[in-house]
Amino acid sequence: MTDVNVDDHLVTDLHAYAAAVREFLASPAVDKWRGTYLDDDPEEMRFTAGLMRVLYDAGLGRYGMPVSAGGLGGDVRHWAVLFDELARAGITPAGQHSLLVTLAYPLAKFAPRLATEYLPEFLSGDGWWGQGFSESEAGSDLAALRCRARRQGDDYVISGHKIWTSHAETANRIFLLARTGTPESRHRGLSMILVDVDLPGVTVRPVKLASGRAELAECFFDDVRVPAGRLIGAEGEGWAVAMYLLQYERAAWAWLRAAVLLQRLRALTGLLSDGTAPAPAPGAAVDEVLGSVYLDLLALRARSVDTVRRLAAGQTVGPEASADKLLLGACEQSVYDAARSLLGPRFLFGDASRQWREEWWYSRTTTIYGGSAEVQRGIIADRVLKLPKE
Amino acid sequence: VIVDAEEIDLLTGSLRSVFAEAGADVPRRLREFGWDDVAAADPGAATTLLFTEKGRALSSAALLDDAVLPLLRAGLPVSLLGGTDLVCYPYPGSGAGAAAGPSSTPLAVTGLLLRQPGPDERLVIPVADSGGVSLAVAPASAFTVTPVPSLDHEAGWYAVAGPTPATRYDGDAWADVVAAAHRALAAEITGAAERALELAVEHTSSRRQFNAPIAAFQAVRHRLADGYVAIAAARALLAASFGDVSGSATVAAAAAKARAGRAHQTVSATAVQVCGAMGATLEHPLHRYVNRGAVLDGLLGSSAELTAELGSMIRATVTSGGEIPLLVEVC
Repeated sequence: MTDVNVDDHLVTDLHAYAAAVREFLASPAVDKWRGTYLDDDPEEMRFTAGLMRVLYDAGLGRYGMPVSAGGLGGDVRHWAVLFDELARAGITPAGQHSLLVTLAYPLAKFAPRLATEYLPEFLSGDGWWGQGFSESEAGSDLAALRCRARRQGDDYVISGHKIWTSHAETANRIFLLARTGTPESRHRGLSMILVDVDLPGVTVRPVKLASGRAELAECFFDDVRVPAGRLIGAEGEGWAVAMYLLQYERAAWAWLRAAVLLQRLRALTGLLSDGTAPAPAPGAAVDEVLGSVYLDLLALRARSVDTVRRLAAGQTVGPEASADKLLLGACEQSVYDAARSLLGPRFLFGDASRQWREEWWYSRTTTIYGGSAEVQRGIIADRVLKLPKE
Repeated sequence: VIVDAEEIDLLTGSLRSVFAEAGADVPRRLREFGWDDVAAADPGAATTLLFTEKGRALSSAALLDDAVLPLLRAGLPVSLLGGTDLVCYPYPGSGAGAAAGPSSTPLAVTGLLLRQPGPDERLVIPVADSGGVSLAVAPASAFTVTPVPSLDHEAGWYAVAGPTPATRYDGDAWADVVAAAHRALAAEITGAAERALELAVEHTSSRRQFNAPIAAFQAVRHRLADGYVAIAAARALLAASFGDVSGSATVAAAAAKARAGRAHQTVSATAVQVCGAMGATLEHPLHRYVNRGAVLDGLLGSSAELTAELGSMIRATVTSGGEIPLLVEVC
């Protein structure tokens, strides 16, 4: 993935890149994104698109992507550094970032021409794409999905339904995993297609989580015609593309979330000693909860760093990455469960804790999406511990 | 990393033979093998391999003393550098970070030894003074030394009690000693946990009930998978504690030991459950790994104690506007 521009030391020197990002993030140009939280997901996505633009214009939001895809070179470690520095500066990485670090690499690998054409809009914040994998009858059992893509001349005609697609309400394209084989073909008969949301026949409807926030959406495809040139990888290669993508979700996305969770641990710890009643008197019981959350974060980072480095070195990540995914889910829930238990009434009541409550509900989904915790345990049982099959 | 994957396999094999054959002679066999050279080349890999295998082998050799004595001796006068010494560790649960505390009058040693001292051997005793930790050195014969009754009958540890010697030496290295011991103990605890998980995998894969191996039942599979994840997390954190953690080495080492202790608890609970009644017998080896990891967890701060210490550190750091140590960076 590395596409070295030998004249730019920020490509090869991650410390220099980190220093450059840190200096830029200290400037007032990014002040409006510091500590800002918006209740409404579409509003927040439009707001953070501005952050993407500012980082892009400064050049610093273009590392980690090949020059041929609108980037300035480097690898996935550049994104990890960027997320750490954003969090350190009190800025939550954008929703766009979380989509970008999972979708951009498979696009660049399996459809370099599409990457050249479309990734620049993603990097600059002008557009962002949903990940259209899950269906109502195909969640953990992804290979059972039914959304069809039929070849007709130079087009694919897509009909079906996707659900739980993050940020799809505001996305301009969908990374769609659809069935091009027979209904029984399972993972062999799948293909990945980049579909524009503004095409005739595409309908997107937001899905509100229990907190009331509509970060997710369902997408309906009613005989949508997409040029065959929008195929990512070959027809029938969709599962391979999806599995390649998942490596980045396990690594780069996990790193992004760890950065966000550290910010939240810092915020929680600050609240406990800001003198605002009622809060528990800090003592050994509180310290054990905070220490336990901290250990979850350290364990996640210690585990992810290897996965990030292996991807950066062009290696493949195996079934043991399911441990990363389980550690991430556990960490997400440990942070927000700690907030809930330590803040007590301050968590349950009052306007000041809206974000904690919303994120607590979101954290419940982290052991469900992207392959549920049960699926991950099954993968470890089968492929790592090699236990007898169920 | 200086030692590569292939070397790690070879060294692991050699260590397994040493622990299988040498019994109480392990330190001598390691010297003959040239383990000091391995440790000099890659201290992190050497400590991890040696203590992981020690934990897996349930060895009661006092290798921790050998690992930390060079650090302690840096503070001792040359005249004291001959002879063999044992480290007097703080007695678990005594609440002090050192084996003798300033609160008792006269100062009394309440410590723990990893083996029985010989008649001419000396103890190196960390003493908590108002100004920090200093070291005392005295013949073991000056103290009452008795076997420690514990959960683990095989640990071979001894309790030490007696007055604190008046002469003290520079104990500035004590924090580094604790960090080094935390890393070694983390590896040993993880090794014991690994073996416990392997025993559970073996038992549940061969034992059949309801016409199927019990490891084919999801309730069992998922617990075993969680055990694997707990160990993987502990190992990753241990590896990180040997990395570039400048300024945070003691935090990283404490975190590694805390997480190893927690992994051992998770795996123990699972292994004892899924091995059924057989696993709770003296005949089955499982209890030995369960007990060993538990008493090792109690040494130099348990998982729960270290976790609370880390939480306290987080609170102090955030309150003072400092940065929470991340320990792991991609660059």
